[in-house]
Amino acid sequence: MKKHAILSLVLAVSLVPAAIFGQGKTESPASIANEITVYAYDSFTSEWGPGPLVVPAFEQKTGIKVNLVSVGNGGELLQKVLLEKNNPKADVVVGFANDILHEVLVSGLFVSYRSPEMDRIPEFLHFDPSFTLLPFNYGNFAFVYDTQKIQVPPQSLEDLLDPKWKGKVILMDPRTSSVGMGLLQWTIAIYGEDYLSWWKKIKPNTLTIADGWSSGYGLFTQGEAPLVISYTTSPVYHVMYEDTQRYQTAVFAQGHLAVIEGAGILKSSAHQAQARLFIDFLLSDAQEAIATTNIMYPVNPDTVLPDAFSAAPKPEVSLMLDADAIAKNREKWLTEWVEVMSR
Amino acid sequence: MPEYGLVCTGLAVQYPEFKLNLDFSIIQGELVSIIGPSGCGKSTTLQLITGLLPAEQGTIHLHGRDITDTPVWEREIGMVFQDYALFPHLNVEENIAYGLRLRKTPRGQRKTGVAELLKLVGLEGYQKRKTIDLSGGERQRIALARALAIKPKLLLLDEPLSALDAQLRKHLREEIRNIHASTGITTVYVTHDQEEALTISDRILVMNNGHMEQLDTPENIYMQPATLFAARFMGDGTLLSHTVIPQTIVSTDKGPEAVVFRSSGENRQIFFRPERVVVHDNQELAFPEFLPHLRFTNCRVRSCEYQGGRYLIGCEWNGNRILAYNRFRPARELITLGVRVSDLVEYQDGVVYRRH
Amino acid sequence: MRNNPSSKAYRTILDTSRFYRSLGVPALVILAFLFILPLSIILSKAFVDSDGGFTFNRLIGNLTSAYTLRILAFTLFQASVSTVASVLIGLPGAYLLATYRFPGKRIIRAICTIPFVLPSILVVLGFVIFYGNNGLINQLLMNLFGLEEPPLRILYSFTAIILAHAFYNFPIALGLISSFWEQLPAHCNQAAATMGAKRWTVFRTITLPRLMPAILSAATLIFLFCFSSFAIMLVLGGGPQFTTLEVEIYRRARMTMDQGGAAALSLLSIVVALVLIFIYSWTQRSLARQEEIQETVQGRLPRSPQSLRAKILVVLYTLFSVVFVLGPLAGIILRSFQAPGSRSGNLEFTVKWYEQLFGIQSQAGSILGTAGTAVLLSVVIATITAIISLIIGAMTAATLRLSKGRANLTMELMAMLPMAVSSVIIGLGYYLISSFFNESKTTGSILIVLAHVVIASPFVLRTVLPEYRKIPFTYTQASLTLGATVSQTFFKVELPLLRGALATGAAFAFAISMGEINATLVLANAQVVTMPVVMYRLIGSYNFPGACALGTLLIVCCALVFSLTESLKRRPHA
Repeated sequence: MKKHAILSLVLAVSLVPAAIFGQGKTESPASIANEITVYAYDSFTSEWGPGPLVVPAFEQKTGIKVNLVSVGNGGELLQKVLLEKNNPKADVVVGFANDILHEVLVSGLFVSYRSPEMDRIPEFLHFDPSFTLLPFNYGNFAFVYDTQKIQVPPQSLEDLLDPKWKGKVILMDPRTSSVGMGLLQWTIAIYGEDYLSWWKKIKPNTLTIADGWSSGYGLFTQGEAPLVISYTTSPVYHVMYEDTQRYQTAVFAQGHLAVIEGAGILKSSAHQAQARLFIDFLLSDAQEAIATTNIMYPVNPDTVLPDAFSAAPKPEVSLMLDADAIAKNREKWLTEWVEVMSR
Repeated sequence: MPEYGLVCTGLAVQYPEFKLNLDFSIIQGELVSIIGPSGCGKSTTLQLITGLLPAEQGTIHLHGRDITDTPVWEREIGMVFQDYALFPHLNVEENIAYGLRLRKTPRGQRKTGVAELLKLVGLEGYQKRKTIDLSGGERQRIALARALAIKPKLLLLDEPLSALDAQLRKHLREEIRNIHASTGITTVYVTHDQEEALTISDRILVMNNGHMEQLDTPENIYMQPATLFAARFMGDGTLLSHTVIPQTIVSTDKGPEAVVFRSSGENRQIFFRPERVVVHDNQELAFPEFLPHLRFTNCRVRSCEYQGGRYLIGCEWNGNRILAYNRFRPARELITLGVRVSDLVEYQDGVVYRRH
Repeated sequence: MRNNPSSKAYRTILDTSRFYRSLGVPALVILAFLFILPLSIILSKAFVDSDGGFTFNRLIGNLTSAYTLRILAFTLFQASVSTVASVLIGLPGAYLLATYRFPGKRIIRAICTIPFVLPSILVVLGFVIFYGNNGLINQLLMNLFGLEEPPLRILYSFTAIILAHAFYNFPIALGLISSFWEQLPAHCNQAAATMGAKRWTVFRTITLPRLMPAILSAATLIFLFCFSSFAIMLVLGGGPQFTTLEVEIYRRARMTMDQGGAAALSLLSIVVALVLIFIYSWTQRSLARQEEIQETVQGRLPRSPQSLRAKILVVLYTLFSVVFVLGPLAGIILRSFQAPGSRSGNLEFTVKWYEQLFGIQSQAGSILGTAGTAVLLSVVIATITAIISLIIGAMTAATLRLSKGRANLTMELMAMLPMAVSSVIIGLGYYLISSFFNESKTTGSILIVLAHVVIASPFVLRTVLPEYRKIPFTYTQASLTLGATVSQTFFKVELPLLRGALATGAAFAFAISMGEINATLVLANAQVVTMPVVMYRLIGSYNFPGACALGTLLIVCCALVFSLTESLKRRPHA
């Protein structure tokens, strides 16, 4: 008898959270006709990401409910929908960067949709000619510096190799960080086959190669080093939320690698019309909210931005690698990079 | 026909290297000690009686009821453990009342019960003390009170005094004796101390290697040990081969007593306690010639221990060792020893063959 | 074993008790579903080729590649160095704690519980603030000597890794060794001294060999934790030259989507961990045996330090542990109350980060103010986790104490396994099974609680089991003869006796749940937002001081729970 008492106690205790958090949805999303499920990376859905602004506005405008699900980082989004291939739950996925376009297309899980909004979006942002992924914001990788420590910022990638920056640069690991991957591709875009010699020379100047942008940039704002790889738009945050111009972008005339983030509709979705409305909304009404929370450039030129964005200089030259080339060489680049950097 | 308190019939368990097999009965109200060398199965026997160890064979009856398959907690047997096993998270009162609470005894009754028991063990007013603040003797008494609280039909004490010093041990065993007398509970007392067993018990059960050697009164156990093992375990003594007798027997006019020894069998031995040995410094022994006795002449004194009030003398006689008590230290190196034939116990193959 | 029939007899009666055996069942069920199942799913990936067929090639290929071997070698190397460092730092403290009675003793003991329960994200944060180039130490030195450049460059190097590992693990060495040392009878030392051995010789020839089981036990545990260290490697190590097995597993699983490769390396990692737990269990047993022997002998009686040298040592060590452990934490707390003054850039006192966290002061465009819910949610989840882990841990300990021989060892290894398998691997497993679940907040919360239970209950078990083994069998026997059934005995005697250990175990479970992030993120797809998740996001959205403020709250919560449990436990038996 005691045994049963204990078992039921355990059961009861484990059901308590169910009672406490019971306000969550219990019915499967698919059973509600007017609801779409949107997968997005974590920082999109978080409290201070675009999600909490965009979703209610969309719901109010269209009357379509949105079930926003946070799925780790950008790479995991694809992994997730691939895992669920036989039991698809999502209608829309938000947050594929241009560098995994190839993999997204190969998966064959997404359907092409040429949103009418695309006509207003500049040509250079149409990174997917098949319109399977549609751009919703973009940015450029750049080194950000601390004006309290640096008066004359570096003017190019070569400048960064100067011994005066010894131990003063924070980089990110391309194997674990999209920003790290961005810098790797940037060097390839500039130097081509010879990119590794830049990496060999930057080593002594590197304070640390952080696992992710969060920790790397965190170290930078803590004053651990005065230079960090980030986005041209990063200073905007400090102006908007901290009212300081202390952090500035170092603009390189040789150009900056661009990253464009896109969204797509799943073929398996039973709510194609609603999903399209959501994409349209993302590319129009949601643009300002996305730009100010993601701190990226909006794709829609009509977007009115706060003054703070003047702190983010748009680079003269925006570089991009071919998606197929990235897919083909990514592993090789990483292996070579690890070989050089782990010596 | 006495009323039996505890009856164990064909009680047996078996381990790879140890076998226990016991048959014995204890009369109601008796205090019986179980004694034996360590590893002989004393504790196992207690475990079997309490039910902490299930018996593989045999039956246990308590006050006429078969309790062989009764679970421990329903056997109504109180037990005092060697380390007392007082619960450290409970105070004295809560420890004693533990069994009463389980029996749903009302609060008031519990309180008076605890007070009475504390009075019985001589620790009035100890209710609120913590067990870790008690001395060894006090703990022992609390453990006893706790075991008595459930008004057991049988009280088991597992070497309850072994952790105490000699003085306290003597004092407490007297007290246990008194408490036993006033409560009249059938009691089994496990000990490895011969003196303790002899002083405290109504009867003693001598155990060896999983079986019973003898169950008898302390006097009989000491003077008439049923087995050679019991004889040697219960105290000092001299063991001699039967064949030495013809050389030492002092023939009397009456003759026949001597004759019994002539049929010397194989493996037969004689045993006698040192207090039965008469010591003489000169060659003449104090025994009158007409009392049949064994006389060991020309014994060489090898050791002489003073034991307070008497000496234990170790002698060598014809390559044999003989122990004797004497009130004086022998003056000579060579002495004569004598033992009355009626004080000998004769064994064959370790079992008593004949008493005289 | 004839000379101890009583303990054998005891086991026999309780072995037949279904009660004790059934106590282990819930743990087994939870373990099977939330640990073994996801683990098997990951590990099975190691044997699947790209077409879905069965193959050994992937495993062999991964395990024999020069790259894997290099990583494995480095992992073992850094774990060894970290272990030696932790033990060397802990040993003098263990000596002082075992030998002397002094006011700082309680402080040291209290401090030692802290690092163990801190989420690594917080430790990393604290280390950067304390030891960093712009950290408190460097700022202090620069101000003192008017330096331009930070003089100490500790972080982002191999030294930093060892330092952080020592921070985490020297308390384990200190705790385990000192409690054993305290019980070492002084007789042997005195005997050696009478034979003319000097103090150092006594230590080397008598004390050290006798401490060996405790040292070995601590070292194994430390090695185990350092072996699977993850976040510290990533942030403090400073680059790809310090890649460990765990980092590589994480990278393959989450970044390059190479699940097969991750699985193969996980298998390797688990095998190493298993060997380590096996050694740990074995040393624990030999410790328990030694303690049984020592039961009758009086242990050392700590005395007040007399000589000046002893006094200085005691003061120095107390100071050292305070600074070493509390420094980084103090850094976090300090930073949470600082903000650059507008325009001037100098740091000034402020509570604005807290105000932002709780929405008292909101900023344009920023949607903070949700931290209140996160704190509440974290506390609720942690409390439920602590309760369930406690029940599970206590029940498992009851079963484990009774089972014997090989079965016991197997069960103990099983129960300890979640402790050895890193949260990276467990998280990966959850990630793979999470697609079977409906993503709602409710199921997410339940899954998180259960996952936390899986992670926390081995720690409860580790706290409770040794104490349980110390309860003399006669207590149980006495209770039974007094009329208590087996279950009554369990609840009225054994559990109350374990109160102290249970309270500590619950506090650990609470703190572990409070700080857990990997499983939380993966299982609930970040729908269930706990404190570490918010912290993680704060750091991810440029808000370092906000993360410090939340970290401060987390430290306060855990400190409250620990002081609560401390007041709950009086020492149960002398």
